[in-house]
Amino acid sequence: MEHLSDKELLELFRKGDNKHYSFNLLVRKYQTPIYRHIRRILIGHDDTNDVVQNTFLKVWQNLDKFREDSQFYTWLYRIATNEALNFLKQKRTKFFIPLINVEKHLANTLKEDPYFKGDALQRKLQLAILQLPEKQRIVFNMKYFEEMKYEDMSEILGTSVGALKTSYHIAVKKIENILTND
Amino acid sequence: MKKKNNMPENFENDIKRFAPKLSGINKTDPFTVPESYFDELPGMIADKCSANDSKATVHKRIISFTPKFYIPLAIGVSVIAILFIVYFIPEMKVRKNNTLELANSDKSAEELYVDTLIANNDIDESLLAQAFINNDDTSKNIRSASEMDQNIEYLNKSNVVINDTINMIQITDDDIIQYLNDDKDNDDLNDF
Repeated sequence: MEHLSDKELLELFRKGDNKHYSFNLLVRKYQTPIYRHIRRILIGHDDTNDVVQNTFLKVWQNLDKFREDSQFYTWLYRIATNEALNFLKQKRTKFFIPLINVEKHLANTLKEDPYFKGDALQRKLQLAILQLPEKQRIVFNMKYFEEMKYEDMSEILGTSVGALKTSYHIAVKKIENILTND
Repeated sequence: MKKKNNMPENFENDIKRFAPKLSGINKTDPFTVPESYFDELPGMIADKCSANDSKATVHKRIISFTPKFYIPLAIGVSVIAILFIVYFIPEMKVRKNNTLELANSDKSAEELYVDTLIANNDIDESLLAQAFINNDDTSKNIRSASEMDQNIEYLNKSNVVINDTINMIQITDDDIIQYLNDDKDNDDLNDF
């Protein structure tokens, strides 16, 4: 059962015999990549844990309405990205963190995070990524670390492939500059 | 060949050449999770979904309760409000205007009271006359010719038309005056 395709899992879910079981299989299939995707945006484990759970809850609430106009995988990533960005937005509003200080806040989280096991260079890279604008940061992570196709990224982020390519190119150049000058 | 924004065609495949520092960094994921986190996560999510389902059921019940009882109530209240606005408010304004109009006249308190009743459609002139005639107390109270004259004078001032609903005859002021003049000494007005 673990090797079922998205389509088969969705069919199983729609049959309604055991929705919780089929949904659990979907969670098991996607929990790790979704966790990593959100973690790269939010940095801290605790925040990521909350948002991952909320993402799958949203999927559970809306899976009946999913009409397969897009792939399940891109639909799931779109929910996860929106949830993560909304979380940051709420944090800004709740704690009156100005836009310019978000990176600082995330950098502090990275420094204090007990679940960050990277070496000094990896920490330096993560701090350099945090200096990018929010959307550019997401594009860079999705392309560089997750090695996602531009077409899928376009569906997830609602941005044209051309704009994504340009954004990624700019992001790489900025990071290279930061790493060189530090 | 270069693309828009000076982006090289083979940029993604040749990142080592374009970003040597970046590509020199270990690409493995530096973010870790607590022990057995991914084993427990599906259970946590399942709990959250179940909690949401039971919350949604309670919420659904409340929603189904709401339209059943509150929509008819809201409709009823709206109808009453519309009736109040359409009927009672203009009616109250008319009454207020009539009362003010009468208050500014030179009539006595009794005359004003009767006129107010008539103006506000609280009493019909014919009914008033009928009551006046049929009431023993009224006839007893007319004690003198001067009182009778006052009544005649009052009736002369007012343009009273009485409908005899039984015989379908219209009795005018002149008929009444004539009758009163003819039978000044007759106390038995009930025979009218």
